[in-house]
Amino acid sequence: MTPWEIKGREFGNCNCAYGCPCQFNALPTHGHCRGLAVFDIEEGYHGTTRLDGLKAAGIFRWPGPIHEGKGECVHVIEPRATPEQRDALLRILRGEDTAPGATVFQVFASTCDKQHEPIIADIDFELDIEARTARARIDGVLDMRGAPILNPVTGAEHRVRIEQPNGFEFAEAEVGRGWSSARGPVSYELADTYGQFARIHLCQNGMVR
Amino acid sequence: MAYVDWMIRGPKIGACSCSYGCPCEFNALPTNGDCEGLEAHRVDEGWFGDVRLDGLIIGARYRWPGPVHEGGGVVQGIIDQRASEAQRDALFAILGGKEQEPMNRQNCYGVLFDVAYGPNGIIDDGVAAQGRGRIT
Repeated sequence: MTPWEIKGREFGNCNCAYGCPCQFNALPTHGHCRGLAVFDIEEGYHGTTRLDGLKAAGIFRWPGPIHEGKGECVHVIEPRATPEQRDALLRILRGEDTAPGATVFQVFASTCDKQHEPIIADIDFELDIEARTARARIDGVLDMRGAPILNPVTGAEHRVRIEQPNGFEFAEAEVGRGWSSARGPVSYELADTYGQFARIHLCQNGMVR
Repeated sequence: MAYVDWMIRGPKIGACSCSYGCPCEFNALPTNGDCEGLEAHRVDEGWFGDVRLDGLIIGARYRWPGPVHEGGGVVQGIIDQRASEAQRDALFAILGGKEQEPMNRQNCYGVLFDVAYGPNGIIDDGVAAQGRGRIT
């Protein structure tokens, strides 16, 4: 198993209510899950291949709760990645070189019956985790926007976090809301639903602590 | 506005009718549309003016027909039977949202109840920080 590690930041949006129940092992708000995420890698490697500065995305859909499987997904890699970087990133995203259940990539990939051919496309991505704002754009593939939750009575920004000390994705995420338009092989629209803004630090054995 | 100076500090357990990860914490709507819940706090250290509240236990049970912020709820506070009359008044003022800024937690909840029953319950058992307790 080739060792790897990535440290970066992500914005994710799914079709659940704010505070996605799946984070607590409850069932998804509408019975099924549609979710996508974009992340950048500040520092990373896979074996001898450096991954610093690259970005990637994944678009997912499951007919029920994620853990019941039968999902489909497509990953997006940037064209500026070399063939070695592309292969390395795809191995990580597809849960290869990873202990079972150790990363969100491995868990998601293992619950997807169909993994579409990866898309190679430029990724525009802006993220401010503290402010709970994000914007992502991949021409012809996705548009995403993230914003803080607003209090329904006062209209004030609501700040709330989810901590996952034993998680497989993030140790702590700022929770907000998001809007997404996903096109291509896995396509759907999301409007004003769960948004997650987090630092990620993962390796072949899971979260790096 | 000047309020009576008070403070309570200690562990709390709460349970409500929502699924794990109560959506209300995130300003989403409750899982089943309505809200039923109860809670108990142990005041390890506390005071209300000159009245010490250390070691007392308080509880509450409540129900709203919809999301909490739409109001129309019913609540009953529960005060430790060991509380003196002064301590009882103090704890009920705190639980009822009095002597505190609007949107302080107890006040925020306090204004959302149409009906508030007096504290007729008594707590005769400790509330363990591990999340087990009994209110009789």
